[in-house]
Amino acid sequence: MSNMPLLTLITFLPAVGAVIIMLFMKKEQTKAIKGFATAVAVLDFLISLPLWFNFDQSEAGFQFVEKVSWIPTIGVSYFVGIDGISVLLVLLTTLTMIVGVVCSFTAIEEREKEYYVCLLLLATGMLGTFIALDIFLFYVFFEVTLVPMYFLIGVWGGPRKLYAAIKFFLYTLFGSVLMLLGILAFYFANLKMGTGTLTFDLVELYGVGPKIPLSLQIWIFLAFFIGFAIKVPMFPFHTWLPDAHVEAPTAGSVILAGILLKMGTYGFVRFALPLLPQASQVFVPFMVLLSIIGIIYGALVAMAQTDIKKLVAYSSVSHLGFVMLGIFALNEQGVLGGQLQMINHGISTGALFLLVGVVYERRHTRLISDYGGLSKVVPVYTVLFAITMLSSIGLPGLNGFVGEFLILIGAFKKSYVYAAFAVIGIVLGAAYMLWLFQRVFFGNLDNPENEKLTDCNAREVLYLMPLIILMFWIGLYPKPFLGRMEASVKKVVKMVNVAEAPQKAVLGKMTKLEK
Amino acid sequence: MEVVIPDIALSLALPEIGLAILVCAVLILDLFVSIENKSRVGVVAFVGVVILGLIAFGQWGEGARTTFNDFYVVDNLSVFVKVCVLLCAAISILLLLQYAKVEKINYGELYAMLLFSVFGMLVMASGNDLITIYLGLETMSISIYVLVAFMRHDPLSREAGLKYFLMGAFASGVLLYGMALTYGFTGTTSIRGIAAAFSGSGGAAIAQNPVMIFGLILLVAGFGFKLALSPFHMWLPDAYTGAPTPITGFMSVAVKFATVAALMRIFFVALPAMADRWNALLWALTAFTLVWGNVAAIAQTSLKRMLAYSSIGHAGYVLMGVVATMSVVDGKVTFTDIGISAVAFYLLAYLFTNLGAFGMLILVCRDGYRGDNIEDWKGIGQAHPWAGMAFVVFLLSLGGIPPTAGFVGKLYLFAAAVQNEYYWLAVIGLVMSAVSMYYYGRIIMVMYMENRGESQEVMSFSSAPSLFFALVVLVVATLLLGIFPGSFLDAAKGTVAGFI
Repeated sequence: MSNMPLLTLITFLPAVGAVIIMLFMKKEQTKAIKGFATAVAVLDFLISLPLWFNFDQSEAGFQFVEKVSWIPTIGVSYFVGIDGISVLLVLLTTLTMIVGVVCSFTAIEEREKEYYVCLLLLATGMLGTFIALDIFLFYVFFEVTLVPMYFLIGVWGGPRKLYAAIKFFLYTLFGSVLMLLGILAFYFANLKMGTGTLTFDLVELYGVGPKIPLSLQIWIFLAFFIGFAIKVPMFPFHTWLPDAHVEAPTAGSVILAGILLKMGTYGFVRFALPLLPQASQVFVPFMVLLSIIGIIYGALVAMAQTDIKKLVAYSSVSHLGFVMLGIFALNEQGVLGGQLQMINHGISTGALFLLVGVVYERRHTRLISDYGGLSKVVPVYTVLFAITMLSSIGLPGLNGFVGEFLILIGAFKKSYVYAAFAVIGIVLGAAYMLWLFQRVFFGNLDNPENEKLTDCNAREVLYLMPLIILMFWIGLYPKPFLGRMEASVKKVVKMVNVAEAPQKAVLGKMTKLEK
Repeated sequence: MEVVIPDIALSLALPEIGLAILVCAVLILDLFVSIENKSRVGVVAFVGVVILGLIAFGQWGEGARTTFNDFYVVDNLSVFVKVCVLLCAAISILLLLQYAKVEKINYGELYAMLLFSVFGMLVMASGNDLITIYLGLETMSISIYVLVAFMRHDPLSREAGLKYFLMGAFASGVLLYGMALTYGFTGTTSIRGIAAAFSGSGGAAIAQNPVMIFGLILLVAGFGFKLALSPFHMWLPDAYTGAPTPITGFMSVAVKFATVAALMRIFFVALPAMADRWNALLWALTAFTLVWGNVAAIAQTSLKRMLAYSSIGHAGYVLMGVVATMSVVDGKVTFTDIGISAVAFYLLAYLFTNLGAFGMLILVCRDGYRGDNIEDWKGIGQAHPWAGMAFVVFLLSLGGIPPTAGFVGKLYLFAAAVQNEYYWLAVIGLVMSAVSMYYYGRIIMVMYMENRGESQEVMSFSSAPSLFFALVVLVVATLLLGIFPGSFLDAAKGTVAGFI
């Protein structure tokens, strides 16, 4: 078992599936294509389950490691493995892929073959991003995800799909190329001041950080920051997100919110913090400020939306502000909360997008004003929506609460001011969500078209069920989740706090010297 | 007077000698082949070029050897350039076979002129003396002027040829004047001799002399014209658009190879004493070229013209590697391996990618229809999925998206720039590569995300086996260099051996 390249299998199975669809299936055989894509996604999820069961909770380092030399000339290896930080993200990805495939059966009615090919290729890109332990490999996967997503938005998207697709592509590409600059700068800094070898191997590079002078660390951090902050997206780099979400097909939105955005937050935890400890500490106030602006601004803008999908998109900005706040509390509770909240956001926002997709498929409108009084015609849908909404708000007993609570503890330990501002965001979050719920589900059923609305069918309930179960599971008994993350989070926190934060005086002196 | 007969190792010039014989063979063969069967001449040229490529490849890795009284050098860099130029010629001939029939320019002279220009390139790559380099450059240029204007019936092609000729002749003059001034100060045209004159007594004074600096500026400007660096690029969009498409592809790649090889030899080997000056000039040209080429490409509606502007941008990337070769440590100028090997790898990646992109244009050419408007490609992704996918691979590689050759090439270039601390140049290059994805991405968008208009002419793809074969090779190579670049990177690294 231990010799089996499990992670490689999980990562490349979807791509193999995509190639098989591309080569051997005709575009008229839509049923077969859907069936096959589902089979690949389910199989992928099943073979990823050993990651959950065989994961050693006490181990902080990397597990399921595979390493093969790839481009020795420049020190690149195919090096993959997971730890507590990535294990849940990998599982979330494989689960979301099933949901993404199944929810597209009726939503996508043209060019199905290419659609499922794109979806499966996207899965490979995302999984690769989370398991890569070689920075070069990580970057390759990070960029590769752009292409299928570009197609998903641009081909199967809404009326403004072309604009949204190119905006998504260019915005994130711009961020990642600057990140590449940071990666290269770190690579050569390691050559000159660190291990003295040309390597992109993350395990070797961990620990090199403190040897790099702060002034260089700050530049590298800024490069990483732009790359990851655009992906997250943090305020003020979030403007691509609402466009992409609104225009993307349902599965695209689910994957975008559930997984792709996590590549940014994951990037901070995996790379920025442990590789650049001092710079990360220097940037705490700045990062926290942006996170808090994101939390409050996202919530306020969400409140003003007339389009349900756009509202959920802005709520993502707010929620990811929480994740970033937790991460940059730089203490155990904060980072742990941020990690859990990444999963939570993937589950609840993913579910919200699915639910929006359900009514959109029937009514072809997402305007809040077109709905009202739905609770009378679609009771099952209403219940599912209510649970998901409450999970997103952070009601105790559901998953959102655990994550937000940990983040607030972490933020409070850093400074009570941070926590105070973040709490405003929670209140606003409850406000826009409940208001949305009220306008859509309560009131009079005055739009005659809504009277004919049919309730969720078995397939829809089926693909929402795992997410609903997870909401309760994490909300009521988060230990298996937190337990798997804890050791690795502790390690990251230890790495980032390895050196004392440089005092302001030192900083002042340095900027003078540089002048 | 005693006459010293220099030791001449003819075997070192085997590829050139072979090529000269091949050109003659092609010209003679042409006399006996009827007008309908001229493609046979092309096939002979193709086979010959492939064999010569293998011969050139055999010279790899044996260190620097000079011959013809030091006029000529064979080192790994020149071998690398020769193999690549011959490879580029071979693929271009494959692309030409079908195109020449469609455009009714299927004459034996077409292949002969192409081979003449290749001959010039080989000489440039091996030139170890300003005279040799200049002769190679002129042989190359004059043949290419003819090739550009080869579609006599097409006014655009004639205009392109004339423009290119006038500008090119002027540029050659500028370059020659720069060489003459260098000769005037150093008393020699030999590359090593010039370097010796600069490092000898009085060399420092020469390097400071304003007239010598003027000569250096002329050299930079001359190469700038030949490589179409902004602001010397004005001839390029017209010349590239008017030329027969396979020739456009050929010259966008092969000319860069040969010219950059000559440029590196002159600047790195002969003029290291003036490195700080030419480096600053090239830095500015690179930055300007990157920005101008990529930004101007956005505004194009013709696909061919857009690729022409994009090739200006790519010239900027190549030059970035040249600039980034120089490293200043404690006020001392040194040349690092990484820059040169990055240039070599990038050019190799660009060879496959750019020929592929032009190959796609050739694929849709038929009598009276060229399909070179971006709009013509609407909905092609649906109608012709495999051709669409091949084009996507080439476009992603041009834009530098993994897992393609272009990505590894750019990464290596940026690595060179970062290592030698050209951060701003790297930032400009990186931002511009994101900008370039706007116009490359627009083609993908047109192909996949827009529907074909009903009034639009049907686009049919040629099924000529030569084209098919060439494009398959190009796609595979583009992906191979992106996914398993190891041995190619080693080869690119090997070009440095014995060079500086």
